[in-house]
Amino acid sequence: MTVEVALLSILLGLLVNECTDAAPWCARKLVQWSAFCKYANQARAQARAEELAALINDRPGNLFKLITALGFVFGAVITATHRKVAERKVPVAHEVPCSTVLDLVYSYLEGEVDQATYAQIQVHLSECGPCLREYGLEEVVKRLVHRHCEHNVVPSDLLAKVLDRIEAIRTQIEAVS
Amino acid sequence: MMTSPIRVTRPLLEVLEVLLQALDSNADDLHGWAIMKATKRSGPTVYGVLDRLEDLGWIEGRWEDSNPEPSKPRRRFYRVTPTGEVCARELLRERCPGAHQRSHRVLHPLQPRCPAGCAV
Repeated sequence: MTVEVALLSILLGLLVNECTDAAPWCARKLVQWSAFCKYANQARAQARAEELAALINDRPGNLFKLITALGFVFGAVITATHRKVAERKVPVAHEVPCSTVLDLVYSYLEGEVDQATYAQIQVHLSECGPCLREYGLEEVVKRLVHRHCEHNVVPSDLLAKVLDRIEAIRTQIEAVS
Repeated sequence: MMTSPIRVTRPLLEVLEVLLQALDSNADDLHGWAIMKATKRSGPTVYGVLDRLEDLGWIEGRWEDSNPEPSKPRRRFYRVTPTGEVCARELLRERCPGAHQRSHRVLHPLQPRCPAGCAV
């Protein structure tokens, strides 16, 4: 029994020793990984990885090394997440630019565009929020006018007003992009 | 009045102050861990500040030839550039008016030196 306990305590001691020896190594690896995770610029990531490894080396205490490294990893993950989110916010590049679609949307609603253009505009509207909002609004106006003034002529300035509005939105979109 | 093109935060002022103090007392340039220790700020915070200051050209980093301890990774030391020095002193005067009179007291007293009044 006493021999088993003695053996166990020796093994446990060796294990703890091994773990604390491994801690600085882990910390260095973690901190280097954090540099590559954090910086999009490869040259800077490389330099920071080397520098942070030295920093971990300077930091006294095996456990503290690990804690400091985890701090860097945490910070890097947050930065990387922010960057990814920011990248996702970049507007979608359309095959047909918004300005073209807004120029043609009236003809599209009238069914005056050829089939290929019709399909292209449809694709664009399905993936472009700002254009879709504009298109939805105009479509509702047109349907209303149709329903209520079926036998009347559409007011002469309506077309001009709608086209003005489309032009204004087009300018806005161009200014943004 | 100088308009600062960067986001000025408390840690940024503290890092600048520590680096200026090292410059004033002709001490050696500071490496990352020394700055962390002096400002009592976490690693990511300090390195976020160092990134910003370096991009701005206020500080410059210099690799040591080799670590005094053999087979250890080499460290990077930071010092304030001449332009950075002018801007940093101006910024600190603006944000922490009391800081300069007591600048010989290195390391600890950052907390009492920057009372809540120094709008950061």
